[in-house]
Amino acid sequence: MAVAASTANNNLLVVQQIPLAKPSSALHQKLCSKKSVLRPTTPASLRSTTTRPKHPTLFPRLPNELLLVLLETMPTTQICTMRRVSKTYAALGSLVIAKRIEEQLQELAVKDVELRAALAAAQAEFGLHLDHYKQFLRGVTPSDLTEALWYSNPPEELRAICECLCRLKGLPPAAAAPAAPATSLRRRNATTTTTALRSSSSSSSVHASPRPSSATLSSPSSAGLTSLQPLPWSQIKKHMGRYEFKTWLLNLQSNVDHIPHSSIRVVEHIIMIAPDINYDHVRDVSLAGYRLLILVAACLQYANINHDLKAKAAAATKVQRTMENYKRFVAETTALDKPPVLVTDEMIALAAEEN
Amino acid sequence: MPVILQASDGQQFTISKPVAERSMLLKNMLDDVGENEQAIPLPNVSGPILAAVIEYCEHHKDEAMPAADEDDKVFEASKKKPDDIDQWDADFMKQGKGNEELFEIILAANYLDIKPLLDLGCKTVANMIKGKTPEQIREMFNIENDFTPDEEEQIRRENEWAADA
Repeated sequence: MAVAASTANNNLLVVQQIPLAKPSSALHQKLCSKKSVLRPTTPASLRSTTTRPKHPTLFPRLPNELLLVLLETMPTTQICTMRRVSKTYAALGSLVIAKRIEEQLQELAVKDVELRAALAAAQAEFGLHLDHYKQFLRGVTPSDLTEALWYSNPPEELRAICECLCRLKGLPPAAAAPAAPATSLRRRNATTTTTALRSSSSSSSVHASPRPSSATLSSPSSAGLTSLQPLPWSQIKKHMGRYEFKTWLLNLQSNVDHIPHSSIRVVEHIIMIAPDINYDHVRDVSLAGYRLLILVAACLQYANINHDLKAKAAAATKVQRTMENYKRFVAETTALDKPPVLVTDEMIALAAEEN
Repeated sequence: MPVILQASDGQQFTISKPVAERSMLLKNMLDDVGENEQAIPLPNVSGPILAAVIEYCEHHKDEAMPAADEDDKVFEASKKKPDDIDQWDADFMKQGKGNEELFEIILAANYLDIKPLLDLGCKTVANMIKGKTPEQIREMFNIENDFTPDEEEQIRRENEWAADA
């Protein structure tokens, strides 16, 4: 199920369920969970061999038929090197490569059709979800930000959500990894338990993310995120208090396209391991935090879908570019075989007459 | 029935029929002519090179010959793996063989139609060239660079297009 948001009287996001074909994502399940969830954190340089032989070797005098057999033994990169040795090897190498290209072009043509079809299908299916998640990023009001910044010692959930926003925005290099005081942080405290708050998870916000299969949530251990240190509130507050941050947040609907995927993975990690971050609990702790969490979740869902669509588009483009390059190679090397047009004295005289 | 081969320098070698039949040329000749005590002249192969070829055929005489239709597929597939050389074969190509002998063996393998030996020779040359720059290859085999700078640039561009092939 997916949920579309609309602005209600009290300016809260009210959700309407719309049916979606795919099951909800791990992120959505985590955010909508009643209980606190804690995921396990889990070539050497070439030496010159350039001693010139005293006598010419037999190699250059091998018949072309044998040189072709020899070139066929080599991988394409090596043939490319041989093509730079002399014109004979360039011509023979072109023949061998052109044959390989001919074989590959048929496979690439099939692959091209498949990739384009897959991209079109994904765009048709997930394009709607992009629009859906972007809805949550339109009409962001600064009041939630103001309310969050009002705290001198915010609840841990709010701090973590604000950290997520900071990381989505991008932190200054110096602020990237300082450790916060341990007393205020519980990020990796697996034994911390929270009361599972009761509320209707069906009325939660950024629901159901039917994402392409490759957009799985990052594994903390595999992503090397376990050493991630929580940001202290003072730093978050300073960062979020900047005019630049406010502008970014208000234009999140367009800025979401520029969030690096690495930041998305970091924020996913923070949310997945935080024991108390789910819609129900956060709503009870802070309404501003709840609405900011909706923004964060919408960014994650949008960015993951967008990332997968971009990857599919890149794969299709790569195949097309490879095919174009292959065709260009064949066209150019075939052109080399044509006899050069000789400029004769007669032609020069004719041109002179015309002028 | 032994088979007698005569090299271009007049040296004669007596070998068994299974050894001779590693060569498709000799196999076809023996099939056509039948048993014959006369020496088979091989005017394109010198004595030392023929001795080396016979040594190779002796070693591989018990190996199954690939079926004709399978032959090409296996041969084509194996050709693109220059590193895939049997240890005995690698030692055989190294033992006292300079570039000249190596290319003469390739020529002899081609003439006698011994595809595995031709393949081995080509792989050995490919391995010799591996990692070398065009200039190093030119110097190694005394090949003249007949490109103009523009042509070199053109080849470099074309190579970029073909890089993934």
